[in-house]
Parts: sequence; C-alpha cells; structure tokens
Amino acid sequence: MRKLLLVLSALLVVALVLGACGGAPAAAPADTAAPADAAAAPADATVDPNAPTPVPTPVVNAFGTCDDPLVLWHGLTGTDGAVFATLLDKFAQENPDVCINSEGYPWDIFFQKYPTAVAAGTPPDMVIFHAAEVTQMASQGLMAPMDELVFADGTLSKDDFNPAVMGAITVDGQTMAVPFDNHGWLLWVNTVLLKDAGLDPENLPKNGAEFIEWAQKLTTDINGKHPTEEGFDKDNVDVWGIGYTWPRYTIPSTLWQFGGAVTNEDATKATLDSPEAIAAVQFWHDLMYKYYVAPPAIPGQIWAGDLYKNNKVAFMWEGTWTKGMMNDNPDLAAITKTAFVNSLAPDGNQAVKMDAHIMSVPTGVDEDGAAKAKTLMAYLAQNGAAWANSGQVPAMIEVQESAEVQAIPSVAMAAQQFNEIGRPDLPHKAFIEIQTAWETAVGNALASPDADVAAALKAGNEQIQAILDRP
Amino acid sequence: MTTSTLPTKANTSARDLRWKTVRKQLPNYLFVLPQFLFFSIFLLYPIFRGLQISLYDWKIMLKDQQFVGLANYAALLNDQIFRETMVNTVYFMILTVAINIVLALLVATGLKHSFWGSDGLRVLFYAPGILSVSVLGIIAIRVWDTQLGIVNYFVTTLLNGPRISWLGNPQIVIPALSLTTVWWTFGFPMLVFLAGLQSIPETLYEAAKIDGAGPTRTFRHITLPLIMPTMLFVVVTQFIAHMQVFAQPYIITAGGPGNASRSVVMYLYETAWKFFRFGYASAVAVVLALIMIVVTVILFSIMRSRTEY
Repeated sequence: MRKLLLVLSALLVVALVLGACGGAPAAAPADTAAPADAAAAPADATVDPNAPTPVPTPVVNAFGTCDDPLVLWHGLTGTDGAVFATLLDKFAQENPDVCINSEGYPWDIFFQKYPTAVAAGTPPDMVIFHAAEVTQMASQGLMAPMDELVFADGTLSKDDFNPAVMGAITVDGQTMAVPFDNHGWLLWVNTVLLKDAGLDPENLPKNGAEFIEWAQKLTTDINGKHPTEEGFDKDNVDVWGIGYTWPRYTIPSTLWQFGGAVTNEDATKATLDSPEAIAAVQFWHDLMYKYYVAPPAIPGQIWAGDLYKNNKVAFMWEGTWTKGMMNDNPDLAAITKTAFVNSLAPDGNQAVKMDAHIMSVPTGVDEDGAAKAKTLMAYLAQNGAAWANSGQVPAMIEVQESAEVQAIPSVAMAAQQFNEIGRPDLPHKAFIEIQTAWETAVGNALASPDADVAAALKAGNEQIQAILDRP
Repeated sequence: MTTSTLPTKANTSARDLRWKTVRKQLPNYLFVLPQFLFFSIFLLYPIFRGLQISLYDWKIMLKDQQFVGLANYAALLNDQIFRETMVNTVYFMILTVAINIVLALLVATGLKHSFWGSDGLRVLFYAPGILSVSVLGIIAIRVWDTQLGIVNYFVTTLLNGPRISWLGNPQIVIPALSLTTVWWTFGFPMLVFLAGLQSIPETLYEAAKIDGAGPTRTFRHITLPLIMPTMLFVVVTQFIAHMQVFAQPYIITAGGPGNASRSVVMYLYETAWKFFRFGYASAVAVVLALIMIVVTVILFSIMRSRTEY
C-alpha cells in the first residue's frame, strides 16, 4: 500500500508540473477589458423590445471566387462588421481578380492568433487592428513596413491622413500601416431629457463647473428629486446626468483636458500621480459619489448605451460606432444630437481620445499576398465613405470632406472633433501592459466612495514606471 | 602481478540473466512506447521548453533570443502584481477547498444510504459540474448582479437589506467567486466521498453502536480515519485544481475590481498573450509549479501519517 501511495504521489507531482507549466487554456471568452468596438455591451444589457432583430455577422466571409484568396484577419465583429462585409462585397465585384476570405475574431482571440500564425510561417495576407497597438506589434517583429509597398509609388500619400494617426503608426521612422478610419469618443446628447430639464441642447456646458450644474439638473431619482434636493434617493436613481463609459477612452480624454497624462511625452516618466491626473480622476469620483450624477464604476451596472436607449441618461460619451445603435433605433436617433465631448476641466480645455483601425501586412507574407493586400488597402482607404455608414470616420481627409460623409451628422461631427482636438495614445512597445496598469489603477480609484484616488493612482504610477524603466 | 581482462564465468551468466530479463520485459516497453512518445512530444518537451524560455527575454519572432539568466525570477520577487495575484489565488483556493470538502462530506454522509429520491439528489448535486465554465460565468454574472441579480433580490426584498456589489467590492469578490466555484465543482468530491464512505464495512458501525457510540464519536473514530485515503486524494486534487483558477475570474470579473480577483494563472496568461512577455510568463509558470509541488509533498506527508488502511 505504501508503494502504491508513493506511485500515486509521483503521478500527482507529474500532473502538477504539467498543469502549471502548461499555462492557461488557449481559448477564452471575450475579454471585458477589450470589448469589440461596436459590441461593448455587458451581459446585463436591457433589450429594447421594439428594436429590430439583429443579424449576426458571420465569422468567416468569402467574397468572390478564386483558387488563392486573400486571407484577411480583423476584429470587426460588431455592428460595424456588417457594413465592412458590404464594402468587401463591393470590392470583390469591382476587382474580380482578387477574392477574399475575411475572418473576424474577438480582439483577444485575434491577438493570440496573429503572433502565433506569423511565428509558424502561416500568417494571413492582411490584418486590421488599432493604431495604438502598432508599436507593440512592430517591436515584436510581426509587421512589415508599408512605405515601399503602398506609399513610395504614390498609391496613397501620407499627407492624406490625420498627422496624429500617422505619428502613432510610425515606428523607428518606418510607416507600419495604412489608416482605414479614425474612431473614438463622441458626445451623444438626449435632447428630450435636456429640454425637459429646461436646458438648451444648442448651448452645452463649457467647463467642469457648468457640467456639474447641468448634470445635477438632469439627474433625478425615482421620486423625481434632484441630487441637490433634500431626500434625494441616491440608491434609486431614475435618470443619470452622464453615463460612465469605457475608461479606455473616457479617462485619457479627461486626463488630457486637465493637462495630465499617463506618461510624459517621451514615455520615460510615468505621470499618473501628477496633480492634474489626480484632479481628473477625482472629478469622475466626485460625479459618482459626491454629486450622484453618474452611476458608480463597479461591475453589475447597466451599460450606458442601454440606459441611453431607455432615456435614462442625458449625456453619453461613447464611440463613433454608436451610430450602429442609432441605425437600429430610429426613434432614438431622432432625439439625439452629437457634439464634441464635454470639457470637464475647470478652464474648459478640450481634448478627446481617438484611435484608428489600421491595415497592414504581417511579416512573412509572400509577394503575391502583399500585392493583393495593397490593392485592397488602397480600395478601402479610398472608398471610406461607405465605411462611414458604420459611424467610423474615414481615414482620408479628402473622403471625410466628401458630401456623402458630411451628410451623416455623427460622422461629420466626429471628423471635425478628431481633426481639431483628437489625440491618439502615446505609442510604446509595452503599450498594452501600460494600458492595463493604468486601467487597473483607475478601476481601484473609482471602485467605491471611500477609495483613495491619489493612493490608487500612485500605486499604478509605480507599476507604469517599472514598465518604462525596463530595457 | 598480472590481471585478467577475460570475463569470468560468473560475469557471463549475470549478463545473460540481465539480457534475458530485458528480452522478457521488452514487450512491456513496446506497449508503453507509443504513449511515452506522445507524452514526451506534447508534455515533457513543452515543460523543458518552458523552463528554457523562462531564462530568456523571449520575443516570438526573434531567431536569436536574449539570454537573461535568472533575471525574470529576480523581477518576480519585486513584482507587486504577482504578489497580489498569488495572495488572491491562495485565498480563493483555501476558501474553495475548505467549503468544498466540508460540504461534499456532509452531503455524501447524508446520501450514503439509499432512500426515496436519493439517486435523484445525487444527480442533482453533481449536475452543475457538467456545465462549461462559460455557461457558469454567465449564470454567475446574473446571480451576483447588483441591480438585477437574484441574490440581491432576496437581500433587498426578504431581508430588507441594501443592494450589495458582490463583484464590485474588493473585500467580497473572491468569496463570491469561491461560492460560485463550490456550486460548480462540489459534485465530484461528493461522489468520491460517497464511494469512500460506502467502502467502510457496515459491521464497524454496528459494533460501535453496540458499544454505545453516538453519531459524533462514530464519525470521528470510524468514518474519518477510514476515509483518510479518500480525503488525501480529494484535498490534493482540489488544491491542484483551484490553485490554477483562471476562467471564473476571467469571465465573471476580468480580474477586477482593480486586481482584487486576478489569479496567478490569469496574470500568467495576460503576461504572455497580452503583453507578449513569454520569458516572464514562463517564469511565473515555473514558480507556480514549484509552489504547488512543495505544498503537495507537504500535504502528502502530513496526511499520510494520519492515514489508516
């Protein structure tokens, strides 16, 4: 029996080693920290019974017929995926010599498949992801430069795109991608709620103090009382002044408005614990726990988009892709106005975070694949007006200015906003790790009424500095 | 003085004997060989590769990787997030294993003897274990939801209590995840305990009853000592399983709020597949494996000394 026990012990130890060294399960469901752009709704989303039945976007779409299709990987799996599919279909009809296998994956799955496919020598011919991640992907050797392929022969000109985006996708002097669109935060205003509160939707608040006044007038509990009134029931709020949305966009926008940032300009020093950054995050903490005009940033809250759909939030900072939701809810679209995101800073300083979907060719793609990718990249960049139907801003300035695009109010507004006050994230080879660190710190700072904002940001700052200090 | 190099008769016969033994055992080795080949290629090799990668600043596309020696391990010592995730994991593991074992043993004791409906109850208690972790995650999000969750429904309506942010409060998020996991996993230890309890001869209980022992003494002096081998198995397998918790926090809380529910394996996954720091992630895996090996050996030595067969 003793021997049997020893054998069992040995087996268990081996199993243990295998289990621990084997790492995590290969596939995991969608990462809540990185939701698909157009599908960031949490599980407890309230469903509008009058909304049309959504048609799911196929994961793999084939466009055209041929023996050797261009394989395209991307993460456009939300409502924008359907618009993207129509664009690819149009391309295939106009370019019968190039057919496409378009494969859409949730972003976390995409970023697992992409490096392993390149390392295994079986990359797709073309990829679409975000400008913010370009420096990290390029520093891992996963991207081929686009200068020779696309820009040197004049197929496209770098001057045709937003300079800030071009800066974000330039690594060591080489342009690693071609912008497909500009996207990011936009202000969505429920004009009916504003009018009901006696506020003018054409004359929005211009700084943090004005914003708080407006938000207090807009927020009501189930008894119709405002936060400034005696007996306000903060645990049973009916209408919120503003919804707290994806911190990945909300927080950088606020930090920049207050003159802060996650790091300094050359990314050598973490600045998340600067007075400006603390004031910016404290402002959101106050909106949630002092003024009770924004729902607390804790899990289990109803997504701002669903609150908005049900007329339960007046101001919503959300993505340009929210147009997809508006397309599905024409009644809601009719009472919605878009504008530059509110300035929450005391001096009214304006800034908004923008990003871009970019197109590129992975390392190791053969000449034929790269040539097909070049054709498709040029087509998608030049025909961005059709893409604007998804709510995203076409990347080429000339296309942005076209009548077709200007006819879409939210896209025209977003284009103007990004060109005037838009800022992309600072590129860094450890971008995602830095982003995770500050998102965690901000999450801690906003987790409860008692949270110490300064201490949480200081802890996050130390982690970011340690990342920046790495060789 | 001369020495002979010629083999003696005794040496020759010993060699013959060895060869004979080898020939006799050869079919056994051949039978094991296919499995050993797969085991080596798909398990042993990755383990040694993982150990090797942990000594490098590994970038997926580089042909010449930068050797950093034990730098990844040294960095782990000062890694605040690794410490936090290790504390979270150990806290989760202790809670889950303890509740699982107590609950599984209690239920198994209750279901040991057949009665009307006992088979149905066994199936019912085991049923959550057949759910995939994704389904479990969706159920848990619904159950613990602050606004619409069934737990808060009872808390607010029956107990007239406040809405509790079960998954948003750093102090209670791990107990919430642990309870979810217990509901999901306690069917297996229950079945194992049931088998262990049923293997104890009934005559021992009859003798104890004749001697005047009550239920508590019977449990303490007969049941507990005789199910110690089962207990050892359950404790060790539960420990190994729950130290590697990944999907529950990944799906239900994404590791939050902040890092409050992030587990070591989740951190390992993110380090490798979000941050592309494969060397560092391998070091995390090796350290986790070492900790688990050491604790397992300790558990074995403690519990084996109390085991009766």
